[in-house]
Amino acid sequence: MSNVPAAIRAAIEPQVNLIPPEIAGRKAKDRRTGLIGLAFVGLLAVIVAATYVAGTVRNAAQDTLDQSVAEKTRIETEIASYQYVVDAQAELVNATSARLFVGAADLQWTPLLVDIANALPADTTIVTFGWTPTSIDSAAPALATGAFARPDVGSIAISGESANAIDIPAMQDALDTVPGLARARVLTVVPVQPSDGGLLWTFTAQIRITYSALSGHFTEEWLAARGLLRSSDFFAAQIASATADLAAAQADPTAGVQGATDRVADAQQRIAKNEAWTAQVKALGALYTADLDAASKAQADIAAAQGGTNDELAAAQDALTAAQASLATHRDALNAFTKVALRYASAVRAVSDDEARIAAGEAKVATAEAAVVSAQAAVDAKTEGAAAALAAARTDKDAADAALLVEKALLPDLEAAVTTTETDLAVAAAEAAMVAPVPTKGSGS
Amino acid sequence: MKALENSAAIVGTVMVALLMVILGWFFGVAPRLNAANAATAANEAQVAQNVELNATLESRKADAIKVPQWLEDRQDVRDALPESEGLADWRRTLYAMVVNTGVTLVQDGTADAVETTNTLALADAAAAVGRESYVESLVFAGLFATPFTFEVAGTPDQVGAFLLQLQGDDHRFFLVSGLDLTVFDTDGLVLDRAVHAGDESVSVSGYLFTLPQTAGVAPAAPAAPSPTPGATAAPTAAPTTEAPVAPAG
Repeated sequence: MSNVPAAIRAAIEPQVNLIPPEIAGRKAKDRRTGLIGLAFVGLLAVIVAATYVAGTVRNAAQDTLDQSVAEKTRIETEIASYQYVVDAQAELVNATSARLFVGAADLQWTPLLVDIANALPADTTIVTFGWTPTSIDSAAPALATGAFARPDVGSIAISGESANAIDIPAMQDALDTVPGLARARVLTVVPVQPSDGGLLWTFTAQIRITYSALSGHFTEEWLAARGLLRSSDFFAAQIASATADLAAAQADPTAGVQGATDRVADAQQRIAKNEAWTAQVKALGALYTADLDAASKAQADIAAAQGGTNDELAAAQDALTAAQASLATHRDALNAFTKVALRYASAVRAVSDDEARIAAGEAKVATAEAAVVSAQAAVDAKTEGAAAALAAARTDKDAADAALLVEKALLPDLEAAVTTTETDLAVAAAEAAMVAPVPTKGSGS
Repeated sequence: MKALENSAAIVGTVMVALLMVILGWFFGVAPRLNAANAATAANEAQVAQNVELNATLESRKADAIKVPQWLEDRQDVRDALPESEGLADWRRTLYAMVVNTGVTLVQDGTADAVETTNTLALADAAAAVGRESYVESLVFAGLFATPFTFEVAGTPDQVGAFLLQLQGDDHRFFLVSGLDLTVFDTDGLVLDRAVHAGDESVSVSGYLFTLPQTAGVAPAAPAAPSPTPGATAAPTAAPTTEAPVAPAG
């Protein structure tokens, strides 16, 4: 048995390596070279694989990009096919803006002239009337000048004559009340003597036209008032406006009610004006009817006079001629006033719509106010409940405090009683110890 | 000596391997990865743009439904602002109003149309009465104004009815920009018509407006609309002097 430890793995039998070191070294070198070559091939394979994978990733990304670009081209082509939509919208916006612009300086003259004529006292007439306007060809309105000037949209210069000088300041006051007019000023008053005697007062005056006089031609309000607006945008805007009004009214009910009240007052003023016009038209209608009756009567008289004298016939024919002339005059007047009345009927419809909206707004305000009152009542009820609970808690606390005071007062007595009781117990225990028999072993209990 | 040779071989091998890795990275992998990254980034941008384009497309499709209404609305505007000057039609309208109301037309006249821009400034005047002017914000192009003046005479009722019709809604819009009224103080004659004291003579100046079509618009929303919906007129084309489109009324 060898004395060499097994761990050394020494040959059991003696060995001799007969391979020459040169050959062994060459073999080792060949193995190393082979391993290195294999490693290079492996490395090359890894590099080629990585390049391939990177190329695949690149190709996939490029394909995705190509698809996106193709999608973009498709969408753009489709968008281009809807160019007519853009053109139509641009055309409409341009046209609508242009129409709003041309109507912005519009002033409806017939109602204004009628209002001015109605403001004139009896025996006062206008001889000339000239308007210096704000128009689309002026960069700025014909601005008012003078110490009391305010920005406006133009002025009216009038001249006229009055039988009574005292009527002229009355006319100035009346002109100031015409809606859309302001700061009527009589500039000159000159007495003249007409050829037929007496005294006549000629005057010149200037009246400023405010922005309120402009008709707002072609605005949405204007179109809606005439039933010409088909778009729902206006009504959506109205709803938004009403919603805003409601929110404002809820935030401050008093202000909302005041605004509604002002609008109602304005509407009532317009209604009163319309009623006056309607009465005037009715009066003209009555005259027209009377003329028709007179003409009929005259024709009947002619028929009756056929058998009478020539004088009676001539008188009847004169009456007929006069009746027909009066009829023509009143028919013209009636036609003119009917047209105006139709216009005011349209205004009345607008006022009616306004009143309905105002009523709706007032109802909303009332609802908001009721909600505020209800909320206030709820708050009050909760406040009262909390106050009652607080009062009850205070009562309970007072009772508890009183009981505590009583208990505090009784505490010394209780402590003395406890001390006495403990002393009594100790004494009783001692006495019991003295009188009790000593237990012995084996005895029962 | 042998150890030295082995070390040189190892170093050489490592260097060659390192060189292969570097060359492989810079000439094989990195360019492809860079290209992939660039393509991915470009794709993300393109996708984002496509989302916006799609939104635009959907908006256009939604608007396409409204086109018939828009065309109808545009036609309403044409009633007030026709596409051609149409002076002959306007005179026919004016003379009809003269006949209807019984006034006497003393004279009328016109001048060259001029292109109009928005120069109105009403903000201060509106603010003075607690209102807000809308005119300053209006933007438009291709609007032409034709000055037109005339003088009529008649009774106050006739003149009032005439002005009411002139500024009415049932014909082409006429903006009255100046008004001078004189009351006759004696009987007389205007042309061949007798006038009496109290009758009125009114000189009116104003404008007719013409708005030539500025963009080609399909007559109605087509099911498969053409990408080129039609030739368009020049935006600021002057109105034609003749009137292929008669004003309403």
